[in-house]
Amino acid sequence: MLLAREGGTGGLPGLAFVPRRYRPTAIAGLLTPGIAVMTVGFLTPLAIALWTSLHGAGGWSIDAYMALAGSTLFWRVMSGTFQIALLSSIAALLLGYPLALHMSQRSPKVRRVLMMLVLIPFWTSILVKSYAFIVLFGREGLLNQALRAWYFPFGPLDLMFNRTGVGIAMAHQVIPFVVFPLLTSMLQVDRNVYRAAEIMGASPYTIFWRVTLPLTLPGAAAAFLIAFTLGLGAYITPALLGGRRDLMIANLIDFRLRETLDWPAASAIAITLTGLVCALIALARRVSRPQH
Amino acid sequence: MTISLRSKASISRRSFIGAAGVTLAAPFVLGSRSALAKDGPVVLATWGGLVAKAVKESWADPFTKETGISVVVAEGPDLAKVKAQIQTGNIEWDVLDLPGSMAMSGAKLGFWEPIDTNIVDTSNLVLPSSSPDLVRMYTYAGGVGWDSKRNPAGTHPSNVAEYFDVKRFPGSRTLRARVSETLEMALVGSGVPADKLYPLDVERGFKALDEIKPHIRNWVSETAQMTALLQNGEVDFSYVYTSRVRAAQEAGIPMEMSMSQCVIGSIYYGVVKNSPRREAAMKFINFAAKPAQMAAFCAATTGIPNVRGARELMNESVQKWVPDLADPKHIVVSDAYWSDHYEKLNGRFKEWLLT
Repeated sequence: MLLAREGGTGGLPGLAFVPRRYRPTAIAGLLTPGIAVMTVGFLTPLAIALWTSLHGAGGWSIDAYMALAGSTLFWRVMSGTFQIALLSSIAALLLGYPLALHMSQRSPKVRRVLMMLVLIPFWTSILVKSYAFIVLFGREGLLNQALRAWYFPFGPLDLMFNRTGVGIAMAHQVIPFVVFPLLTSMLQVDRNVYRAAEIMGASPYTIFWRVTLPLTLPGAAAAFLIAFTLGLGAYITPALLGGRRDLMIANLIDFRLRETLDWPAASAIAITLTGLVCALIALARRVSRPQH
Repeated sequence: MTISLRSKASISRRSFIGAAGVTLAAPFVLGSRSALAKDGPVVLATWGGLVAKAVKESWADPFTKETGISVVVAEGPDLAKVKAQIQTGNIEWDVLDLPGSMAMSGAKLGFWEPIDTNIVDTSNLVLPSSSPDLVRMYTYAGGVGWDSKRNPAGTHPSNVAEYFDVKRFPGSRTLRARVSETLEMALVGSGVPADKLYPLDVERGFKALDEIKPHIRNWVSETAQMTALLQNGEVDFSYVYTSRVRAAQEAGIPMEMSMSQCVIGSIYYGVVKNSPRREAAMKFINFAAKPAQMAAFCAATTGIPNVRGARELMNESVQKWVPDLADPKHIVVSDAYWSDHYEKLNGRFKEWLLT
């Protein structure tokens, strides 16, 4: 739910005014389907998971949570998951920002083509992409072969089956989710602001740091949050391209859910993760709230 | 599935909406399937691709021809779904295709009907089923694989002990990212005879794993990766399964595996508790476990028949993928052992992987 809000127009600049007042009944009518979907598809399952996590074999108990608190495996995996999510969302943001900026400055026609290009990897199966990465970045991959041909002295580079591999693949995975919120926020900036800055004698460098970046920061925050949340839930990519230390929390949930059928434990992990993410988002919003 | 373009194009919007409505309502109507379907089709949940195709061609279709009972092949056996079906009383699946650990944990939780030995002839099985609620149908073999172009004879390990001997055969390797199969291999690698593994000497096994750890480039979670990594040259040697190596060879890829020492995993069939089609389901299992049917199925999927008399019926070119289970060198994974120890040891194993 938080995601939907962040991903929408909520944090974007230039929308602080309300263009027209709609009748409350119309607003209620428009909101109902969305609220209904979220209630059935998100809140209800979440409530069931919460109930399951607090319901052991012998009635109400917090045993599942106590077991988690005392499990080194759980905390290791949890911290690894946060590290991977953080690494991949920062990488995606650093790569996606210049890309979005470039796209925002092209004509709408060119931009449409670029948007398609950004979306192509999004439509490709994760399994196929993972194999493609091995072909590109593997020990015998194209990159290492090229480096060898150029007498690169430090090869072959170990880019797959470790944290680097997860970072590359996950950043690639979430870049479309980063580019679109960024692009929206960049297109919202009034062209006249740039013109005014130029007339006042600002260099392109100053314009970027003093105009573009501050005005697109809310978009960047939204993009980061989406990327980070997606990273937390990732599971196949790290399993395929990560090393033995890159076990994700989703794998742990899957293990409890389908292999040992310990549903209270699986639910407790899911609820703890959801709780931590919500707390983090609340904190991020508090910190990033504009000071007017 | 042969809808002509013309008929597709002529679907009006109204008929589309009607069809969509039926589709949406279907789960609710079909929800009561079990009530009316005592004589309905037997639903068999199995794994996709090659296996599903072979189940249909070697078992389901001939069974329907002989008995008139139709069989629907569904995909993706999942204990969580079985649990939900039993809890809600809405039994969707009747027969399940179950790898060892799934079969045994399900049996422990009482998910399966006891096998009716009046219908199913279990006297002919090579390895016993180790639970009265299951039939061990066939087994599959894993083993040491290598690229025959990169590693000609003498330069590659050809049994499990050699796979763990990094001094004699230096190079990167793979192992599975789960404790079963892996711990057995580690113990045989450290010198325990394959027929004297159980109960596993866990400490010794983890010590052997400690030693091989730096040489394992990938702990494989997706089976397809085991051969793909070998083919791409990402690893020098890999733990692989016969079905995948056979497919690779048929595609002209220079890949070999050693058949002299294999790790043997088992596939069981079980009937979901309270299935209204229990009797038909038992009849189906009995039919599939007949030598001729089993031979046809295993030839297609590169399985090892667990029924006496089936191996001999298989084509000779396929027989080379079927190790002789009477040879004590093969490591037969004990699902009975893992049903008691999997949860604890897999937790320890995952933690060990992270450190």
